[in-house]
Amino acid sequence: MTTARRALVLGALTIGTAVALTVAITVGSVAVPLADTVRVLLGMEPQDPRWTVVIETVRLPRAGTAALAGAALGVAGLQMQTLFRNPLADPFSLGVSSGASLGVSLTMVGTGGFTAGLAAGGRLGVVAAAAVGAAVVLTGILLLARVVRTPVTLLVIGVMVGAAAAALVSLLLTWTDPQRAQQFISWGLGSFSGTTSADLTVFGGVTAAGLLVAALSAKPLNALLLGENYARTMGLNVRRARIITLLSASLLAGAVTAFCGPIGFLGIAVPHVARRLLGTSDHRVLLPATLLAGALTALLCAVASQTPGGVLPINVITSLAGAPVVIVILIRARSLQGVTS
Amino acid sequence: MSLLLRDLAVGYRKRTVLSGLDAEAKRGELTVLLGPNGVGKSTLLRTLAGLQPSLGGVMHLDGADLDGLSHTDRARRMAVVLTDRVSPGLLTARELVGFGRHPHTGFTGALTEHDRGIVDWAIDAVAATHLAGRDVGELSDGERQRVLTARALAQEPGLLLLDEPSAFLDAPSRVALTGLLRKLASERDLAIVVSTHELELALRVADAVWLLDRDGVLHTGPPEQLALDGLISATFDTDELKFDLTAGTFVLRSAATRTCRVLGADGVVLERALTRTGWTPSAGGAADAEIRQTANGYLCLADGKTADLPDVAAVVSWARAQSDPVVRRADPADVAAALAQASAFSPYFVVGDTPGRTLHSIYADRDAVAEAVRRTGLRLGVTEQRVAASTWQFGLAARLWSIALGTVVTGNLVPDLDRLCYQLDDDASVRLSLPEPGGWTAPDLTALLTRIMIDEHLRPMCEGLRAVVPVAEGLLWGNAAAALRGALRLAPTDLGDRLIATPVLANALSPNGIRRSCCLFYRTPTSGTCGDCPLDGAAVVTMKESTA
Repeated sequence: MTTARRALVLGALTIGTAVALTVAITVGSVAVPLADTVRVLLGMEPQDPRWTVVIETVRLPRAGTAALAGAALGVAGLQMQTLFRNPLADPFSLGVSSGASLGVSLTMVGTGGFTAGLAAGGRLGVVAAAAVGAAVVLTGILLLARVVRTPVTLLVIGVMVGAAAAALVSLLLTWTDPQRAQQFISWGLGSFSGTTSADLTVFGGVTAAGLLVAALSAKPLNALLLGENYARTMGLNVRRARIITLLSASLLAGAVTAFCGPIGFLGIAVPHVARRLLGTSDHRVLLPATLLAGALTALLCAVASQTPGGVLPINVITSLAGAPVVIVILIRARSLQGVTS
Repeated sequence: MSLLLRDLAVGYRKRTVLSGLDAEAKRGELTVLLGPNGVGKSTLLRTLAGLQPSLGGVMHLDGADLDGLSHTDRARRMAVVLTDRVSPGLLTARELVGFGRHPHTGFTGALTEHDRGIVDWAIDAVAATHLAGRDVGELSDGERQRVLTARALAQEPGLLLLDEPSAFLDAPSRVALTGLLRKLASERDLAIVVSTHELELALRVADAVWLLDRDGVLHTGPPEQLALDGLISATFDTDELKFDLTAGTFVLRSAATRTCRVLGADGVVLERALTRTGWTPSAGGAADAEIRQTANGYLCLADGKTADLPDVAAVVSWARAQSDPVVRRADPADVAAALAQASAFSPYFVVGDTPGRTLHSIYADRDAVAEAVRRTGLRLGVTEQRVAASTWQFGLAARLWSIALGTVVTGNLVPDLDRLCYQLDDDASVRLSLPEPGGWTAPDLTALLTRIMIDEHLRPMCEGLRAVVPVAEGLLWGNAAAALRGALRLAPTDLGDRLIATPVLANALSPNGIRRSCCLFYRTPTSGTCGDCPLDGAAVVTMKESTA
C-alpha cells in the first residue's frame, strides 16, 4: 500500500511538473497557442516564426530557471530541516542569502572602485556579487561546522550572521540614492525572468552538481532522523555527513539567490508538502519527491506571476498563494511530524 | 569472546570521570551496569559506544581494539540503545528498524532481500511484528523502546549496549524488556551491557554486574557475590533505605525504636506497612506490639489491649494510632515455657487448639451460665441453686487466678487471658485452654492484671451469674478473693498481695479470710436473710423452681 502510494505520488509529481513546464512556456505577454508551443519544443516550425524566438530566448530560460530554482530550494530546505531537526529551517537559515544580499547591495549601491565596476557590469555583476557573498558565508559555515559540536549552535550562528548582514544592507541602503535602492529592493523580491540561455547553462550546471551531492546525503539524513548520537552509533561519520549536507544545501541556495534573488517560502514549505504527500520521512523517496514538488510549485508560481497587468514579483506569489496551502496541509496533519524533535 | 576493558579512563577533556576501569562482559551474558546517579555510568557507556573518546586504556571487542575501528566497522560489531528520545517523524517501525542496516548497506542505503530478512528477524526477536507497519510516532514508550532495540539488533552486533532502557517504561514493560534482553543474550550469544536504576530487578536477572561505587571504583562479579561482599549496601544504602540481603530488595530503614512482631503468612507484607508507620519489625524476644493473622483478619495486640481488625487498612491505622506501649508482648516461647510450668498449679488448663468458646462470651450468655449452674448442681447433688452457682464461680475464679499468678511467678508475664477458651466437661468441671501461647510482660504487671482479672473476668462473670441466679454479689466477690488467696499460697508473689488489696476484693473478706457476705451454709429457714441477700422474701430457691 505505502509503496504503491509512493510510486503514485512520484509519478503524479513527474507528470505534473512536465505539464506545468509546458504551461509556463505557453503563458506570457505574447499569446502563443499551446500546439505551437509544443511544436517549438519539439523542434518544428510554428505558424509564426517569431514565436520560436519568444520561446527560445524568453520562455524556455524562464521556465527552466523556475523549475531548477524550485527543485534546488525544495531539496535544500529538506536537508536543512532534517539536519537541524527543525521544521522552520530553510535553505537560507545559515545566512547564505544574507551573504548574497550583502554582495548584491555592495555592488548596486557601492560608491566606487571594485564594486562600482561590478555594477557597471550589469546583470553579470549582480550574479557574481551574489555568488561571492553566498560563497563567503558558505565557506565560513563549512569551516565552523568542523568545529561546532551541535548543529543548533550552527543554526544560531547562521541567524546571527543573517541579522548582521541585514543590518549592513540597511546601512548601505540609507547611504545610497533612492533609484539604486529601488533596484536592490526589486532584486530582493525575486524573479525567474532575468536569466538568459547562457545563464541557464551555468545555473543548471551548479544546481545539478548540488543535487548530485544532495543525493549522497539521503542515507546520512535518514540516520540523522534518529538524532546525531544514534546516527553515530549506526556507523555514520556525522561530521562528514554534516559537511556534505551543508555543502550541497548552500550550493543550491547560493545558486538560486545569485540568479533569481532570495526566493522565500518554497524552501520551507515544499518539504512539508512532500512529506505529507508521501507519508514518510525516508529521504530516499522524500528527496526526489521534494525535488519534483519544488519544481512544480515554482513553475506554478511563475505561471501565476504572469498577470494581464504585468509580471508580479515571485516572492509575492510564493508567499501569498503558498502560505495558505501549507497552513491547511499542516493543520490537517495536526502536527509538524517529520522533523520535530 | 567478549568486551574487555583494561585500565580504561573516561571523561571529558578537562575532567576525568572514571579511571582504571577493568571489566569484562561475556557473550551470552546479561551484564548490568549499576551505580549511583552522577557517578559516570552514562559517560562510560557513551565512551564504549564511541560517542566520546576514551582518555586512556583499551577497549577490546572480540579481540579488536574499538578505538582502531572505522565508524562502519564499529557499528557492525556493536549497537547501542540510548536514552535520547526519538521522534523521527513519518516512519513506520519497519523503516526505522531498516535504518539499523545502515553500516551494511551501500551509499544509497537501499535494502537487499538479505537485509529485509534480517530486519524481519530483528522485529520478530523483540516480539514487535504487530507494530511493524505502525507509525513510530504513534507507539507507546515501551513499544518504541522495543523497536529501537530491534533496530540495534538489525545491525547484527556482537555487543549490545543499552543506556537505561527502562527509564520511560512502566513496571510490566520493564520486566518484559529485561526478559527480552536475557533471552537475546543467551539465544543470540550477544554480550549485552545495560545500565539501569532498576536495582532490584537487575540483581535478580543479571548474569554479571558492573558496580560503580560512590568513589568511582568499578567492582565486577555475579550479583550475589557483590551483595554478599556488602558492596551493594555500601553503594546504595541511604538513611531511609537499606539493602536486605536475604530478600534481595531494598527495605525502608526504620528509625523507630518500638518493635512489633508479626505472626502469620502475611508477615513480610505487614512488616513493610509497619515500618512505614513508625515501627521496627521485631527480631525476636519481647516486642512492643504483636499482630497475629487469624482466619478472618488480624489480631492486633499492644499495651495490654487486643483489637480484632478485618484488613490491612485497619491494621495500618491501628499501628499509626498506638502511643508508646508500657506493657509489652512477651516472647511466645517464654509464654509457652511459663504456662507449661504453671499448668502444674492448674491441671484443668492446656495450651493448644482445643474446641470451645471464648470465656468472655460465656459471661454474657445466660443459657450457657444456666447450663453450667445446672450441671454443677447435678454433680454436687444440691437443690439450692445458689450453692451450685457459687461453686461453679469459685472454681472458675480459682483456675483463672492460678494461671495468671503462676505465669507471673514463673515468667513475670501474663498470658492472653482474654483469649481463653472455655469448655464444660461431662463431669461439670471447667476446662480452660489457650489456642496459642501469647502474653504480656512489664516491670509491674499489677495494673494490667487488675484490669484483666477484675474488670474483664470477675466483674462480667459476677454480673452474668447474677442475671441468671439471684445470688449475693458479696458472696461472689468473696469467692474471687478467696480463690486469689488460695492461688497465692501455691504461687506467692507481691503482685498478688497488691491485688488482694484492691477494694472490691479486700472488702469481700474479713481480716481472718472469712467471706463477709451471705452465710448461705448457716442459714435456717427461720433466720431470715443477711443484708446482702438478693432474695426477696422466699429464702430458699430450689433448683426445681429456678429451672421451671
